Amino acid sequence: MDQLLEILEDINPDIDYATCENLIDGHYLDSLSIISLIAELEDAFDITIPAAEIIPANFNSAKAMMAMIERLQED
Amino acid sequence: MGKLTWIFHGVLPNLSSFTSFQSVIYLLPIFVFLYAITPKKAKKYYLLIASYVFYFLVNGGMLIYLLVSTFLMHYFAIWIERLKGQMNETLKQAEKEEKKAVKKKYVRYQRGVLVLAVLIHIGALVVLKYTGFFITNINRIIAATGSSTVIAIPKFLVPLGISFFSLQALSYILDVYRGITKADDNILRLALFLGFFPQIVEGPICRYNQTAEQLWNAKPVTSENLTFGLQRILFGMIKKIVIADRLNGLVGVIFSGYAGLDGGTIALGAIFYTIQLYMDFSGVMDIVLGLAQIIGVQFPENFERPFFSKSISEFWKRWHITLGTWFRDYIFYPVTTSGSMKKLTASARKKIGNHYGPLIAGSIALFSVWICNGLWHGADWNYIFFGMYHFVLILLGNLIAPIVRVVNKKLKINPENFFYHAMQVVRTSILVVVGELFFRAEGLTNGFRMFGKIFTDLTFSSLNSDLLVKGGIDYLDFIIIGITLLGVFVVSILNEKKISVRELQTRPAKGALVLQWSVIFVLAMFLVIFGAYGVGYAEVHPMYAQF
Amino acid sequence: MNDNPKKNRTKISWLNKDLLKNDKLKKIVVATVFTFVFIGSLLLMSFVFKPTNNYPDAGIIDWEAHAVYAEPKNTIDAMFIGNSEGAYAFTPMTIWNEQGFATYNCAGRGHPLNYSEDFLHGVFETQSPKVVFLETDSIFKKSLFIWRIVSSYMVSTFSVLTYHNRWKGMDASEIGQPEKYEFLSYLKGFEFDAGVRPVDPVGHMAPTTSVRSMFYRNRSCLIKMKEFCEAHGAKLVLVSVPSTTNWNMKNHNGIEKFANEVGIEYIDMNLILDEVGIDWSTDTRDAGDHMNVKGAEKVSSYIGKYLASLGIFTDHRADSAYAQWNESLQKYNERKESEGVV
Repeated sequence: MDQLLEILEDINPDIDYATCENLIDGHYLDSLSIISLIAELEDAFDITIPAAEIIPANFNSAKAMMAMIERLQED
Repeated sequence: MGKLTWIFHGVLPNLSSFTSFQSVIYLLPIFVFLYAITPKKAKKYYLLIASYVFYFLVNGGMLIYLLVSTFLMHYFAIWIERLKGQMNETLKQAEKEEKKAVKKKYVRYQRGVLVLAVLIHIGALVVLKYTGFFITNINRIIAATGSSTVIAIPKFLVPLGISFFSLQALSYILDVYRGITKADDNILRLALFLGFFPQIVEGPICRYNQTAEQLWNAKPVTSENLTFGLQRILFGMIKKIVIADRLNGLVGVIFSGYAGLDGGTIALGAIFYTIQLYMDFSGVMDIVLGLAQIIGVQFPENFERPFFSKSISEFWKRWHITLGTWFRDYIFYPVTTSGSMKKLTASARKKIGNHYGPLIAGSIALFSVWICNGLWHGADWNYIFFGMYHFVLILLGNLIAPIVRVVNKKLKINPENFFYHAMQVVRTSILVVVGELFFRAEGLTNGFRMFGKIFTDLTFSSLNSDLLVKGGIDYLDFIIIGITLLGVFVVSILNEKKISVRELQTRPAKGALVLQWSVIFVLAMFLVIFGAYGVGYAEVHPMYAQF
Repeated sequence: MNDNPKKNRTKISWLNKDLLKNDKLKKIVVATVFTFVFIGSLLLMSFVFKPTNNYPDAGIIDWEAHAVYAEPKNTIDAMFIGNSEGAYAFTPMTIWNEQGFATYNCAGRGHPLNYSEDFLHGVFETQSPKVVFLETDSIFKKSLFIWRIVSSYMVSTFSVLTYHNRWKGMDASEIGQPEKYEFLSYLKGFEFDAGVRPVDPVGHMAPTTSVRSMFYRNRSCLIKMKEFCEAHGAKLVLVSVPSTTNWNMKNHNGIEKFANEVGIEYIDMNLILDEVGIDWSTDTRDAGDHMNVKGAEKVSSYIGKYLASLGIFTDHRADSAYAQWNESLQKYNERKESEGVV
């Protein structure tokens, strides 16, 4: 989780990732941030994030992202 | 009945304009009544039959395109699903070293089927909509070389809603391929998803997971759904028939006769057109969503106060939202997450940082999206220009965003400040209006000429009573437009502040129901008296239905 | 209290059951009440917005044709009914100018057959023309489907749907007044269009043996009109005005067959274009669909001669009761001049 938070802070330091639950729906992370994020996450966690996973449910909170990462790591 | 009021009704209500006053007045109550008395289990079949009957009455034999599309998509999706099943079975039994190869082989099969399905649909769409455009331009090139050959342009009849249901069909097969949704073994349910009549004319463009199940389980009519659905329908009709249709004549006169008008009038024409387009399109969406509510189905919103946007990027998250999300999910993300793009992003981030790094891949993807967006709207150069215009604006916005942040900090400007916010909103609206000028202009050359005139001849001398008479409008009409726009504005502010007009109507302990029906009554009366319909008005078809 | 507790309990549970029923019932009642209030309001609005005089400013529909009701009683010699084909082709001023007969054009754009029939009945309440010309284009229109008749009644009852625009300039004192007909039209119902869009009449009225069939309700409407005319001492004559886009031999055969069966006179100008003097390069406003002023004058001249040949009409040009017709002719000529019609 810490590694994830570090990456997120790097992308956009102004957001409180501990509490925010609508990063996508609230337009805190825009599509450009998502592109960076996906590149970083794939690199850092050695996973492939297919386009099918780029849905608000997976990216609206740090918790949701973590869950997605863990799931993709199992494949 | 006096002689003076015996009026014939010579024309069958024009169903293609199901938003036309007559259609809705006659057919909506019949539709809802029949729906209400249909037994619950049969409601889905009623909706499907009604949709096909509607389509056939409006577009006749073109229905075949929808039927073939549904049929093909159904079987292609099942085919892909079957391949997935076979893949998983084989993987279970395979050795660890073989797994990757097996997966690759099956994915290639699935992709093959997917490509076939996509090509057939896009192929049909391109041939029907764009053949004329291609051939016209080829003819231009031939003429430029001095040859006198002219290729005849075949005239294709474009099926109603093909731009809309094709996108829905494509999203379905793509979602099945990605595993987001399961292939539907029920062809009728898929048929209803693709062919539901209120959607087929102008959208919203829905995803399978969003609406297929809902439509299939359409609910009995409840009092609440009926009252609020009706209110929304009437609100949408007022937007379109009181405001948009009223401006139609004047806008037409200004855009076709701009050569004899001054720049100021042209600028006003662009503003009026933008208002007309917004009121027309969002009004029809209100009608569609209101109708959906009556049958207990929730469609996604297509508009969320777009003219409150602070930037063009934000504008496209608030205007024609379902088209934007379609492009985002099926073009933007796939392009930016493709292998080569990801590599590009990774290396770019190292060299030019977190903001500009992903911007390269992002901009390439954005470019693809905006070419498609422009072309989707129409087969002409001014639509392509429209797409590129917005692409450049968004690109510029992205490029200077960090600079603006730095400048604001240095000058101690607070972006939350009301005046700053107002400036952003006004600037965005002006940029949008300019884009719409080109969108509506009769060809790109005329668009440029009109735009040029605004700068070379900024007067309002041709804004006289002659012009108004030609446009079939007078100062009383503008008063009505103003009052109605004010009402729409108030509702927009409430919605922006997340205050639900509906929730307000359920608050009174006594008489809430009477209040709700009173609102319906007032809206309906306002529409009947102040609508721009009937004698002296040309009927205006929903403006996005032509795309 | 000494009340039986059991009785109390039953009373309360009965009330509860009723409340449940009441809620659903209440919703239905409110909805029904509002529907009736809405329909009632529409009817009230129809009454309020209804024009009560026939001045064009009052905004009535078809004010040209309706101006016939302002003509002094029993002054009209012959009348025309039909749809836009008739409206653009018959100009009473030409007949007045050449023959001195007073005719009126009650044809109008889009008029279906039953609307023409109603005009017929309406005019005969104050006039007694001796000849009624029905333009044949509307005979083959499928306008008498039940659907359209029903919607005609609906649109007429809820006339606010047609006259709602009068909010812009209505006179409140007018509401509820009896209908007045004071406005006289100098065109006498004619649709004046001086525009020219020529057409090449190739293939027009190409011979064929096929016969167009008539919708049965249209047929019976025609027969009723004929009987009405005869009962009122008038003759019904079918006329097909020149039109390349709307008229052909198949249609002609259909009308001719009907005319022979029922015994009505039928004049098809499309077969005697030379006699009428039609020139397709100058006489049509929309490439063969309708006549323009020039074409209409030729058509009307022919009709005028036909009327004269019947020998039952008198020249009213010196009659003081018809003075306004001479004034109308003057206005008509001025209009022609101002629009460059030779």
